[in-house]
Amino acid sequence: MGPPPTKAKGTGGFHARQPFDTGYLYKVGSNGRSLIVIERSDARSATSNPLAFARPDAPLRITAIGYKGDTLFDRRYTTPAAPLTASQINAVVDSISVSFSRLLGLKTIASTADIRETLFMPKQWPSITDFYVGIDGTLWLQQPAPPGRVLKFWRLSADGKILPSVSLKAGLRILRVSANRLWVAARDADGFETIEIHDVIPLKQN
Amino acid sequence: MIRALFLSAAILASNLVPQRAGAQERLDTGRIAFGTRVVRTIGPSSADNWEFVRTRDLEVDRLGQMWVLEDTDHKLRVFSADGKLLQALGGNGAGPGEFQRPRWLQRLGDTVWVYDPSTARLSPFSVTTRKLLPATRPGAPHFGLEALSPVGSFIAAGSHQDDPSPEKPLTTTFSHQVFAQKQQRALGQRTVTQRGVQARM
Repeated sequence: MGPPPTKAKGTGGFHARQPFDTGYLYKVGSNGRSLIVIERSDARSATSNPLAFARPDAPLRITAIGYKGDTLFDRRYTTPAAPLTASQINAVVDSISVSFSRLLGLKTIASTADIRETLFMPKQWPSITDFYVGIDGTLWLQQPAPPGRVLKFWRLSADGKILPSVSLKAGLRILRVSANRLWVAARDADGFETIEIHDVIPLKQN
Repeated sequence: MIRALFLSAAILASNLVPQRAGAQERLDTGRIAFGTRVVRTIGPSSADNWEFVRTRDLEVDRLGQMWVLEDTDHKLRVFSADGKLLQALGGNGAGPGEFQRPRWLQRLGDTVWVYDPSTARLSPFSVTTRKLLPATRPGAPHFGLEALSPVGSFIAAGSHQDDPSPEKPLTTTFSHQVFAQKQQRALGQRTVTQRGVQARM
């Protein structure tokens, strides 16, 4: 979907997902009852007035398609436009380089120039970078952020209502979510994983 | 009491109201009020001779048991709700209940399914006995299977990119198909097309 995946030259075609892709995202709905499709658009297309002073929002459309091809859910949201800076791009390129090297067993770090050459780089971050469907139908929408940062999520109930946002410490890989809990994989320095179960809790007021 | 009932009814009613046509709700980046706290960790004990290296998928059943699919030893491990290892299933192989490159888990009712595209097999396990059940869905596609639907059909999805050229910008077609189990024919299909930007390769 969207632009072609990133590719490390001379590696026999190893691919990774484009980090700034603004194309469609899709996941299976809870219990296999539907396919959730999220259409992300560029923030610049959100307004028809190029002289508008306010930074335009990025539109987001979420559709659930049933197994008869019918539409079960169709809602639209907007997210604040987030400019993509050179330092953020560098951080992402470095992160891809390290993960390529680790996966390919290379002793040297994969060339960042090669990776940069294949990257799709819009002026804005995509409105969300990934999403997760909860076992109770909750949707967790991952807010854009460079690697190594705290993960932040907008959340929607199964019927599309906006729920409180949640932050999650960096470096965790999400395996399953629900409205009040998530199951993640945490990797240690030796490359071994532990599964952590987290409860969603209110942050302390300062 | 009456006030509480009235409030509940109002909340229920508001949930049922569909979004007004053309309406957009704004997801804001204001202060985050919720975080998370680790309540339990799951992994091998010091006496165990296995590790989680690349956890492929995790499913939670109605008993609160966690089914964890590990990529490196092709095992499906079942943990109790309090994190105790109950059973290790599967393993490398092409026989019943064995896996070569299992891709995902899915719970439907009291069954946890494992999809292995390498063997084109769907292996059902009982939530209550944690044992392999007789295969009731013979045959699965070698790739592209996203999920099983509760009515005995498959959900497959994928995308196709046309070759870009200077005259013709990159076009991506996303399609979603649902297949009947026995006939392998499409029951429904939705397709959307998007023009994208070509990144140099």
